[in-house]
Amino acid sequence: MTLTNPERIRDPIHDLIVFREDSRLDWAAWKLVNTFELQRLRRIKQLGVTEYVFPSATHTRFAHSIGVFNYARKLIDIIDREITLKRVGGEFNRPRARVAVLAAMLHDIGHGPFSHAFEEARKSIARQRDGKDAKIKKHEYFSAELVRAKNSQISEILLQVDVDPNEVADLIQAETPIDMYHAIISSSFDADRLDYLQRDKYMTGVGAGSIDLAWLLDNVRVAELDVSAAEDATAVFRHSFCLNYKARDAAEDFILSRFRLYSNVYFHKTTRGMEQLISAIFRGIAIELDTNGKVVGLRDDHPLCVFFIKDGDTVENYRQLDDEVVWGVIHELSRNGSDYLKDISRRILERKKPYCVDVQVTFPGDSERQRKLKHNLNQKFKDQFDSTVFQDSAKLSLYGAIGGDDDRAQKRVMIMLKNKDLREITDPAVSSLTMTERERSFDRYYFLNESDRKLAEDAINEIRGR
Amino acid sequence: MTNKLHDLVTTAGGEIAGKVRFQKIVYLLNQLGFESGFEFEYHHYGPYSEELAEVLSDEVSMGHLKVVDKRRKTDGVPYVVYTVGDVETKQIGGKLAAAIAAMQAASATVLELAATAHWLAVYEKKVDWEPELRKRKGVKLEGGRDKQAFELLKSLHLSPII
Repeated sequence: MTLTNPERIRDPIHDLIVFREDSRLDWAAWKLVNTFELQRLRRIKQLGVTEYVFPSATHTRFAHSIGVFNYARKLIDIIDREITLKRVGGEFNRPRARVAVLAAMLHDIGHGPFSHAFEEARKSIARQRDGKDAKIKKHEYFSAELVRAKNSQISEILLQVDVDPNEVADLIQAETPIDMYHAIISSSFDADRLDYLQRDKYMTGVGAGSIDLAWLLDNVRVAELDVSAAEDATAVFRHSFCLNYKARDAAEDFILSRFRLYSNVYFHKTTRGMEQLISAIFRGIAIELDTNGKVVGLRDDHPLCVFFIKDGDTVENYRQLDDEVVWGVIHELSRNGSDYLKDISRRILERKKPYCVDVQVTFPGDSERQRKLKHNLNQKFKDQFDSTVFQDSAKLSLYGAIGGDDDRAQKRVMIMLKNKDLREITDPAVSSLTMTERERSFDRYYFLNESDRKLAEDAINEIRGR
Repeated sequence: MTNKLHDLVTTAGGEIAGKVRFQKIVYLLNQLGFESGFEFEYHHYGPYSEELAEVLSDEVSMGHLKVVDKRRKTDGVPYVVYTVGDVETKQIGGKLAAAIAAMQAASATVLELAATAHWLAVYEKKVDWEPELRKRKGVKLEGGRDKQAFELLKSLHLSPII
């Protein structure tokens, strides 16, 4: 099962990605590229509405997934190298390596349109319908289910190269480190992170930090890391990636680069504000469906109506959605929707961003006034939240969003010292970073109406004592 | 809501080491009637409340709670220890006090396993919660930690091990 001729893709991050004709793995990967699930990712932008701030950031999850495949292959070569050089014990497990590379390539197929805004809206809709304990299925679940689906294009391709779809799905969903091959999917230097950091940096055009990738990759090592909670007395060891001490400075640049991307791009106040409008569209559709059984301006069998009707969040309905489906809805609602959804849609199309009050920018370094402002605005606008006023909070540590994927134990950047001891990158024993901030908070309030913004300004002036 | 957190730290012996431990204690106490008011979602370490994380951060910035930065001796991985700050507190009594003592005697990983098992059985309604727990938590169940987690749930009279 090999390709007749090599297939080649040019890419701004990787230059040339070759699917070789002498490799079963590459055959499977190329076949996967041409499945409905991977092609659907052509229609899902990697950074959603970030292009409203960084106009060139229109790259897709499709391009990212191919990039992840290429990095996953490189990481497999590193594991092979480390075993050959006997820096880690055991024998290279080629079937397991194949599972890991294909899992890396497929890890994003469960993303919905406008990923972050979509999941946030779904959580809010679920709570509205079923109370505060209501839970939603997240994108990792959908990725795994799409891989597991029997008689699908994906499962047939996997089986042809002797890869069990369940093993791939399990690896995508695994939350605790399993083995060194799992490090390709989830670790401090996993294939996903290696690709998205460079691609997002390049496509947004931000000059946030430098990534000395060739040096980093040459210094990746495999070691047994303690993945238990740091405060536990008993260690839990599993193989994962760390970096040789000679790459310490490059590792610092790498995580600082990620920190800058979070603060400058992913948490940009205008992007987050536009995401609130996209979420408002999803919530508005669900509310109209719950209230009237239909959405003004949309067909009853429109994929978004079918998905947002109660209990409509099946895998099959989910895979019918992409950014273009949603953009079609926004256009349709801007002409024929109910008053509220018509207004929100037009705002999105015309980039009329909501007014923003940024708590940390308003009272920099003054946590007491920040707290008072949040309390005041929460009281004043609690009945308007998710309708005409939107509240957005996030926290950032050096490792990325707190509570997010980067919080996992295996994502810690560990440096292997010359004597083979391991130290975490921010430990003063190895670090030149001065951790002046434990974590950075982002609290923003967005207002559709000028009158509400003025009320918010009154609250600010009152706290200032003016 | 916040007073309860101060009282919790006091009742826990004056300190709670680590964010994972704090989150799982509040989650499990909620099941016993603590009524913290925080909503939990499933994250990588099991049930997690973003709101609780936010409030803890606010409480620290207001001086009601204090944090001490620590690092694991073996590899320098950082963690924080919460203590009570400039605020009056009282001991929590009754069965919650006993539950807090039992949880403080367990490791954070055992608390993570116990909270996750409960979540799977109760909120995800998984009849076969145990294989699912083993799949999600893998190596963390080794070394007898699975039994310790189940024992803890049993002593707390919580699902799925009552």
